[in-house]
Amino acid sequence: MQITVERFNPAEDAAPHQSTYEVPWRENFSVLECLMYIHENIEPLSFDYTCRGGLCGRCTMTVDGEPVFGCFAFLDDSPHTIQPLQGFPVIRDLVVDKRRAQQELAKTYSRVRAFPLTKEEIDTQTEAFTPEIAERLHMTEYCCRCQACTSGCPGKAITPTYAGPAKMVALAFRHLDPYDQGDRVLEAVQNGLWDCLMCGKCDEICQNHEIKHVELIQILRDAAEERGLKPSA
Amino acid sequence: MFNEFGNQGISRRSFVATSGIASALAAVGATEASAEEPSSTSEAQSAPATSAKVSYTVFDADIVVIGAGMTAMSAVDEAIHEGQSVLVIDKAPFGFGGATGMNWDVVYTWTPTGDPSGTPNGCITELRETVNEEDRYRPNDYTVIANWGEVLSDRNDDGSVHFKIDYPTAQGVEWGFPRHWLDHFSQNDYVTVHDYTMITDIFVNDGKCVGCVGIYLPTGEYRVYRSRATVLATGGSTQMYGYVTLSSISNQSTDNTGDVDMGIFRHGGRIGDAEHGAYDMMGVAPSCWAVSEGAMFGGDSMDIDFMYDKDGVAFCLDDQYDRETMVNNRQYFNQVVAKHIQDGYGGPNGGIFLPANEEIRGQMRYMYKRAVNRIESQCGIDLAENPMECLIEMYEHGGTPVVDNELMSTEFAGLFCARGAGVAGCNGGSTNIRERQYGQYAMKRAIAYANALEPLAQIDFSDAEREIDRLENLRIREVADSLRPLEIQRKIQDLGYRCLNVVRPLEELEEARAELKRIADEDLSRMCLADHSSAYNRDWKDAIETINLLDLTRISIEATYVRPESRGNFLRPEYPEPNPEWDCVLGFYQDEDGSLTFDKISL
Repeated sequence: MQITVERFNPAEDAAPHQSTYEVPWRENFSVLECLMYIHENIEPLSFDYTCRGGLCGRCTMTVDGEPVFGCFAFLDDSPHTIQPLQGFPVIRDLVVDKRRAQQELAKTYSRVRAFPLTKEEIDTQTEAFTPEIAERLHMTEYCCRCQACTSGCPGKAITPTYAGPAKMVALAFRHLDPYDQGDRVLEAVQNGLWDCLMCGKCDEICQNHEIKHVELIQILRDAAEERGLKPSA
Repeated sequence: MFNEFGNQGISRRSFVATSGIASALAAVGATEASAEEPSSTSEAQSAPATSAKVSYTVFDADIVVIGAGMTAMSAVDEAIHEGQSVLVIDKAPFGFGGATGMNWDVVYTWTPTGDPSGTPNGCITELRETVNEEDRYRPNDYTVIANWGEVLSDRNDDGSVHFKIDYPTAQGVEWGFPRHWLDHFSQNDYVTVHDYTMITDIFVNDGKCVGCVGIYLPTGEYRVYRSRATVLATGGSTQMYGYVTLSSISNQSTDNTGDVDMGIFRHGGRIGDAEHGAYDMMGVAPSCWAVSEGAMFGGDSMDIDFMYDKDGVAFCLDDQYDRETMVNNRQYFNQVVAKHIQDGYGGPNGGIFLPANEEIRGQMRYMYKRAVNRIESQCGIDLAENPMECLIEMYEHGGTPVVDNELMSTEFAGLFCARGAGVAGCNGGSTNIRERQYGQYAMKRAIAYANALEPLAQIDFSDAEREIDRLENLRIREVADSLRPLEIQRKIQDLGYRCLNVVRPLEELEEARAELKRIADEDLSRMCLADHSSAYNRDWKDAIETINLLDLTRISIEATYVRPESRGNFLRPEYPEPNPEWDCVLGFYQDEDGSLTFDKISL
C-alpha cells in the first residue's frame, strides 16, 4: 500500500515535504510497524515510541487527518498519509515537541495542599473516598497526556486561548482528588472551561476510553456555576 | 489458536528475515564507499579525532542524576531533604521515559515490618542491611507515595485503602501511576531537568567520575556535563532479548539500552549481575502489541490450570510437578515452562497457550483486562476460544556496575549507582520498593562525597572529547558494503533470545559466543548510517545502542558461561544445581587485549 509521510528536518529542509513509500500490507498492521518497516527497509525515518501499549503517548501522530496512537491504529490496505501530531513544533519528521504542554500539565497535576498527608489522615478521613469518586479517579488516571485531544479540539481551534481538553482533565482530576486543596474550578474557568464546545470530539479521539472528557468538564462546569463563575449570556 | 504468524510459522530462531532486509538496503539505501574504512572493531569504536574539532557545550552541576524514573525521583527526594540542587538528565521527553513514563498501573509494595524486602539471593548483605536501616521512610507504606501525588484509588467501600497484597511481611497497593512522582518532583526548585538528552558515557579525570557525556537528541549537539558527584539511575536493559516487530521480547521500554553501564564498561569498569534476568509469560499476537505493557496480557503460575502446550495439554498439571511449588515458586514455574517448550511442545512462536476465559479474566488486574478487551474488539477474535500464544519474556535484567557499600563504583570515585551489582542480585532486576530505597541511599552518599570533595586543580576534557569523537565518527563515516545498525541489532537480539532464556543450554551459549564474536569482528566495522544528519537521527541512535547491546549481551553470555551451575532464574541443563563456590557477584571487565575477564565479589 502507498504510505505518504510528512518529513521535515528543520536543520536542512526549507519546509515540510512528503515522501511516499510502498509498504507491504498485512492484517493487524499498526502505524508504528509501518514506520519501522520504512525505517528498517527503505530509509531512516524519525519517530518516537516506547511502550507500544497506549500508555506513554509518545507515538501520537496524525494519520489521515486524525490524531491517533501509532501503536494502536491499524492500517487497512489503502493509501494513507502520516503526519506529525498537528499543533506542536516539529523536532524532526514525526517527532514533535510537547514539552511546553507537558510542563504545564505537570504543574496542574501537582497536588495543591497545605500540609503533607499523614497516615492517620489517610486512614481516618475516608468519607470523601466514595466508590464513585475512587472509580472516577482510577479511570481518569489513564490519561497519558498524549495531546491527541488537544490537537483535534475544534473548540481550541475557534478559541486559541482555551487550554484544551487535556488541561481540563488534569484540573478535574485534582478537583475530584479529596486530598487536593487547590481551587481547581477557578483555574478551569480561567483556562477556558466555558470555551469548550462540549462537542465530544475529545472523547472520540481519546484512545484511553476510561477518560470521559465531556463528563469531567460538565462536573467542573456544574461546580463553577454553583459558585457564580459562569459568564453571563 | 490466535496466532497471526501462523502462516509463516515464525520460529523462535528468527523473527525477522534479516537476509531480505540486507539485500533491500543494498539496492536502495547503501551510501557511497569511501576511502576510510576502519580495519578493526576497536578502531571502529574509537577512531582518532576527526580533523575538524567537534564543538560541544559544557554544563556544570553539583550533582547530576542520570535517569528520570522511580529510582531517580527517590534520589531527587533525598536531595531536596538535604537542600541539594540536582540536574536530572533524561534520555526521553521528561515524564514519558522508561517504565515510569509509561503512565501505567504499578503495584507499590513495602514491608510492614521494616525489614529489607525481597529475597537476599545474590545480594550484598551489608549493603542490603545498611540501605534498609538508613531508609528515612522505613517501612515505606502508602503515605510516602500519597505525598508524591498518588491518590491511592483502590479503596474499600468504606473509603479505606485496599491492600492488593496483604501479608505480615509484605503489603502493597495497586493502581499506582508513577507519573505523579514526576509531576511532583519537577515542580521543586532544587530540580533542573535536561531531557531528550542521551548520555553515552561517563567523563573521567584521574580515576574520578567528573561528569558525563552525551547528545542532545533534537539537534545532535554534544554535551559534556561536569558534576562533583553523579547518581546513575537508568534501569536495566532487556532489549537484547529477541525481537518481534517493535521491541525485544519484553514489556520494558525501548529507551533502556544500557548506555551508561556500557560506557562505564568501555572505561574499564566492572559490570556484574549480567547473567540475571527476571521472567514471566506474555502474549505475542498481534505483533504490534507483542509483550507490550498496556496492550497485552499474559499468565503466571496462578493460571496453570489453563496453560496449554501445542497439543492442548495442560502440562503444568502433570504428576511429575509439585503443584504447590509450581504456584508459589515463580523460578520453578518458569523453568518447567521453558523446559517444556524446549522439549518441542511450544507453538509456532515458541510459546505456550493461554485462553482468556472467565476464570483467568477474573484473576486479571484491570490493566490486563482492558488489553484483552482491546485485542478482541480490534482484531475481531475471541480469546477464550482462541488461546493467546505466550512467550517467556524477560522483564528485568542485571548488567550493572560493581559498587561498594556506599553504592559507589569500585573503579570510578564519585559515581553512585543505585542499581549496582549485588543490589538486585539473582532476582534479576529491581522492584519499586528497592528502587526507592537505593535511589535515596545513592543520593545520600553522593551528597556526602560531593561535600567532602576538594575542588579540582585542573580539568582535562580529553576523555570527554574522545567519546565525542567516537560518536561523531559513528555519525559521519562512510563504509563500503555497509550494514545498517538495526541489521546488526536484530542479529544480536536473535541470539540473545536463544541463549539468555530461562533455560540456557551449553550449545546455545557456545553458538551465541561465536556469533557475537563474528558480529564484533566482521559486522561492526561495516556498520554505517544511511542518514548522516544531526537532528534527531534515529539511525545514529540505533548505532550507539547497537554497540551497547553487543557489549551487554557479550557480558551476559559470558557471565552465564563461566558459572558451572544454575543460579537465580536461569537453568543450565548441564549444571542443574547451584554451586556454593559461586555464590557471589561476578564483575566483568575488559583486559588490554579486549578479552573479557572477571572477579568474584563476595556477598
